[in-house]
Amino acid sequence: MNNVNIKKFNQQGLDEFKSFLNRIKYEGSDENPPFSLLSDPGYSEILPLSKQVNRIDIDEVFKDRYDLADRLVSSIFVTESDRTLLLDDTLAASWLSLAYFNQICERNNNGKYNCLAINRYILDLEGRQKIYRHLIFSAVATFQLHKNNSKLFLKNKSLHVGGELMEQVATKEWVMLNQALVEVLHRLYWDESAETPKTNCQDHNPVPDGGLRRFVGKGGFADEYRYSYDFWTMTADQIFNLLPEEFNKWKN
Amino acid sequence: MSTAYTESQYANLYGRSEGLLNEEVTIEIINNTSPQKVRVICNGSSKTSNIPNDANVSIYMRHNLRLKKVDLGINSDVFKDSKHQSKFIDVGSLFGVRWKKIKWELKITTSDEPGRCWAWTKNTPLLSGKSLIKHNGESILKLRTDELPDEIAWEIDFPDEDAPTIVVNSEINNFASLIKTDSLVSSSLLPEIISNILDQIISNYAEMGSIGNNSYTWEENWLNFIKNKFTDTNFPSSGEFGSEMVIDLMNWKRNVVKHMKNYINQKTKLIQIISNTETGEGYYE
Repeated sequence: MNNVNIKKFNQQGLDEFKSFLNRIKYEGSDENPPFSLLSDPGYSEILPLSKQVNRIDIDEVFKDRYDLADRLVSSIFVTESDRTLLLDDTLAASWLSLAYFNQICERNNNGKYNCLAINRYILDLEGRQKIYRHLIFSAVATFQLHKNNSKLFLKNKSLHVGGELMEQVATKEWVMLNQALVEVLHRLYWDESAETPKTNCQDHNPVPDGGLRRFVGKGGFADEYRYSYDFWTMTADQIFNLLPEEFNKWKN
Repeated sequence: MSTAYTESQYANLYGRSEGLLNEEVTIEIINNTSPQKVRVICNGSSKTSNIPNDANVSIYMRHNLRLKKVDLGINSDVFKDSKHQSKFIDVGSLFGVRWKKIKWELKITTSDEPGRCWAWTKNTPLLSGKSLIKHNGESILKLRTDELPDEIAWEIDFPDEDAPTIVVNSEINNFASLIKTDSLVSSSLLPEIISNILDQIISNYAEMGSIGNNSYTWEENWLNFIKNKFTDTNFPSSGEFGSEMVIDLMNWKRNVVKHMKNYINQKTKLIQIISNTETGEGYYE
């Protein structure tokens, strides 16, 4: 157990974390993450969360991305304003990346980290498409918005990968933000008993009739109906009943 | 497996509606307000007069996982008698300091059929630039001014579902108009601008594994434009993404930029400008 108070980086802390990422990614360093930055007042500052006591165990092992997001949303980032502190702030999201670094970045047998693109760890708020690449932010944001329906994106997904399904859907913010649309996606493509996406639903060569890309891809259902219907005010049932025939085989 | 369904199989959804209202609806930034406010301006038209009076008019604003719905009222009030109707929205309180990144869309809906829209606007950035380059009637490059940090004179923004936009530092007087009108400025900057855009196309392709995954694909428009104007070399998008493809993509980018310089006669233009300057004529004249 290794409990630390939840904080956020200051600019110097963020710079140090970036330097660490650069060293392990580009210079072949096999050094351990600089966990001391998490608490050092020279590199971090208090994150004013609503709960009085806010500590996380940075050695806690999570089963999957859903488990991580559930833990963070249920017990740490409890209120809307708590979550805003994380979702609007590169310094807070990046601090969490370091806190859970040993789980969100895989280490090879030779002891070196298999570091992905930097925006997987440092939240890039400038690019809409980039925010979902952050491994912690995307899990928390998706869970916060869709709770049980976020299983499609997060359940049984290793913490160190974003997942293709997330990439396909999350880049369309108007889909990802819409709880009814994501509930329909969940109903169509999530296999509750196997706890995995249904077989072949993500295929793209060829795309199966009614497959995921026929729902969210170019010229697919969501694209075709998004203007002539107001998905923002519709329930999942109403959207479900609107689906063309090709989606029938995914409805059970 | 994929069958005829992969062709568009849908009914003529637009046929039952009045369609796009982008001409009728605009949003104006109100200067010097804190928190920041904007004004929605709705102009009645033949389209809106064909819509039942009691249809609901709503505007949706979103950015970075936040969505706010603002009810503007019923059609007969909002788009009344072709006169301007305005509504103020406090975007500063709704979205905080990042309000400039908001995208908005308006929808007119009926209660007769769940979700059915009579008319709508496209998803539009609050700060949308003015068109600088068009291809097939559609803007592929826009220009606007804004506050930029540090020593940044300009940068390219890639808004969601809109054309790439050159954002010029508003502290540099006249720079935006020089980009539009001055040959020295435009022919010097254009290769770097295009390089930035090609980098983004390559980056998006590397991330998504395809080009044109969204309904509005500025990347596709640019690739068509490039093929049409500069070079008939295809975007190297087949095969596995790996080191070989990276080399192909970099070669493609270099090739496009080279052809673009030829297309705009960069050297000839600069020779003319400089010789005019030397003879005292000056290129501003």
